Amino acid sequence: MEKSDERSDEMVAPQMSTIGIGYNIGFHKEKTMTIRRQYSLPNCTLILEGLSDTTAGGDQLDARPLMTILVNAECRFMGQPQPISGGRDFFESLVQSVSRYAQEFLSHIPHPQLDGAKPPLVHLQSLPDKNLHRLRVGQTAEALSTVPADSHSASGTSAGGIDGKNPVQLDLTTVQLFDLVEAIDQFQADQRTLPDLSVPLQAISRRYRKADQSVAQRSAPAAIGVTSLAVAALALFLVPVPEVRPPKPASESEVTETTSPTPDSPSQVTPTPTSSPPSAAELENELTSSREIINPTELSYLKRYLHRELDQEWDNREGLNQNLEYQITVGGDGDILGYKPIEDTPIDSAENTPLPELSYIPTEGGTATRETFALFRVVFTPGGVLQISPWQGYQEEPGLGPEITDRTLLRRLNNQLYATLNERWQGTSLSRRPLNYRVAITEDGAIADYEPTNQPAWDYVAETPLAELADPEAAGIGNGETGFVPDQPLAQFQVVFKPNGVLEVSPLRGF
Amino acid sequence: MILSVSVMPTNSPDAPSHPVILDNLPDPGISDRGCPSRSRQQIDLILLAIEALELGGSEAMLLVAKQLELQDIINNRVVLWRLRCTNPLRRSHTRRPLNLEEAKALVIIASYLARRMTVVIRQLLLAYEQLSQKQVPIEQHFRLSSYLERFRAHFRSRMNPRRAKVSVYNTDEKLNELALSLLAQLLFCTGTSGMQRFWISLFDGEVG
Repeated sequence: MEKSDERSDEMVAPQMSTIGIGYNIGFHKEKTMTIRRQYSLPNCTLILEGLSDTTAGGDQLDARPLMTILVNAECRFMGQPQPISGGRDFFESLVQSVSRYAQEFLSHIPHPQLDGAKPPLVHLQSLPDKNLHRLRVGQTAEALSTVPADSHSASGTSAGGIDGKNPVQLDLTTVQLFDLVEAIDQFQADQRTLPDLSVPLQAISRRYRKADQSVAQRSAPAAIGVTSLAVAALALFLVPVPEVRPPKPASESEVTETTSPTPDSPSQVTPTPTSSPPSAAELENELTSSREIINPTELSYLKRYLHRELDQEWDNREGLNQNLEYQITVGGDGDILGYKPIEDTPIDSAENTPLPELSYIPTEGGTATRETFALFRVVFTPGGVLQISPWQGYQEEPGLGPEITDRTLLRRLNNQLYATLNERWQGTSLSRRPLNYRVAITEDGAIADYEPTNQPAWDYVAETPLAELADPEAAGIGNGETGFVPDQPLAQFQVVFKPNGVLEVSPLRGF
Repeated sequence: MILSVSVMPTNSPDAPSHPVILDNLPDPGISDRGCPSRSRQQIDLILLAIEALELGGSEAMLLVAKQLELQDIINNRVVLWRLRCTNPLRRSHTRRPLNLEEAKALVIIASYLARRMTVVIRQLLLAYEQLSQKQVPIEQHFRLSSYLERFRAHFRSRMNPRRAKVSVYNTDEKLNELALSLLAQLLFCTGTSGMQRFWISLFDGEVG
């Protein structure tokens, strides 16, 4: 039905044909030239007819005159008898809506309408069940008014098809949609056609992501049911809100399609997403039959591990308006098993934290393999700071486990650690203050544990090679045999990464 | 926004150490902690889809890295693997940031490979559209079903099934859906501004 796309890899110039029809009667008494530009893709052909204002265009000798005024834009789709067409208003709206929809399609995050903007002339909406994209062209100002709205659309060609009165609606397949996007991108890359009409690509702000999430939640009562059910339990397994959401136009109230895997029926309370996380009761049962970790040293190792995990994955730090506090259940191997909001943390706020990303489904027959767990209080602050503490506090001062104290060995390991870090560290270009860490290594020199000891060290840990080099399992941490403490003595060092590129390594307790 | 991916080595004698091709992609204005989690997942998944489309896909990625003079960023298989392991859904996830330069390099490589595979990507998507119109099972189409099968196998062997976000894809149907959605994303990567569109989309909802 369709031949393959004939474009080559290196193609940068749009395919187009320029037909100078001739010199036209004057616009503002200047000589103008009618120009026709065509962008052809297998499923979609975009034809622009316009004028070159020769006084504005300047270079009349250019082989391709500059089109500055659009008279008519027409878009034909393969297999659709009726083209869509219109003047400048129509075409601007087409370019904007298609470009925006393409970004929604790629990110699965709905883009907001510009504030106060009137409903767009051209509108795209996803029909996810059918895997189609509905393109609608509404009535234009030009069609409604007898007097042309502006001189750009002075030709009076109206949008919306033949008579310009009735809205036109086309359902495009994904390949057709792509060809439309491509025709428009080729137009945008063409500097000789309406260079003033361009729609820059921009990622949308996280503000809109949040706003749209609440919309998604309103439309998915079952998800809220799941949440409130689980909140009552000892530990919470949030059924992850799927990332794939239909781009949902704000102005659309009759939208019925949704890609959300949560069922639409509000009466449904049980979580259907199949990943079969245990029910709250099952989980509670499992946890009461397992042992809570109270050893302060093990708790502190777990806490550091948790802090590193959450700190690394927490992306939207500036997005919080209030403290978000959770009780988190962590398995003896460091996996996050569940979490629940506490204090006045909204139940749907976890999306602003890395918790849904990092939570694990317990292994089958959890009680056999997962015998221990620990509870932590975790606070995400609006300032971007992460605070973690054991739920019940420490029963006594946590230690660091057995330590290597042999001075000769310490000296050798000191040099080894310096060499390892120095080889990988490329200086810190971002922090103006020294980054201080406590670093623990095994007798073989593997970095088993590390802990920032000042705030810049937390903020700029990505500037150091520590996260990449850390290998807790080298010391048996988290392997399930000895729990979350090292199974061998470690050598403890203080490491300072200085802004001037100087690295300092010294034994934590001196030689 | 003209995309100029050229395989020709630049002839300028004093080529800067920063690969010029990276300038095709704007800095999105995220914090200095490296790419957000969703971007890292998405980049790795799109590369996974490429591997499912083309046998020896990871070899091709390295080759393209060299052709595009990105070998200072990705110079061997291990580095490529480590960058991809910044995807938190992976079994072998490393807690290492993915900086913008590395992310750009991966996106450029993905888009370049996607362009090379434009024909097959279009054919598969058209086949899928026709099959679903006629309500014929996807398995009837050999090339499409082998893409889906390979994608499922790659996904299952590399992603950590105990991650809640991975465990959602616990049936063939759901993985097929993911594979088809990635295939459509790949199609968009083949376009005139496809590389930029894909790149910018990675930061939707992540910027200030």
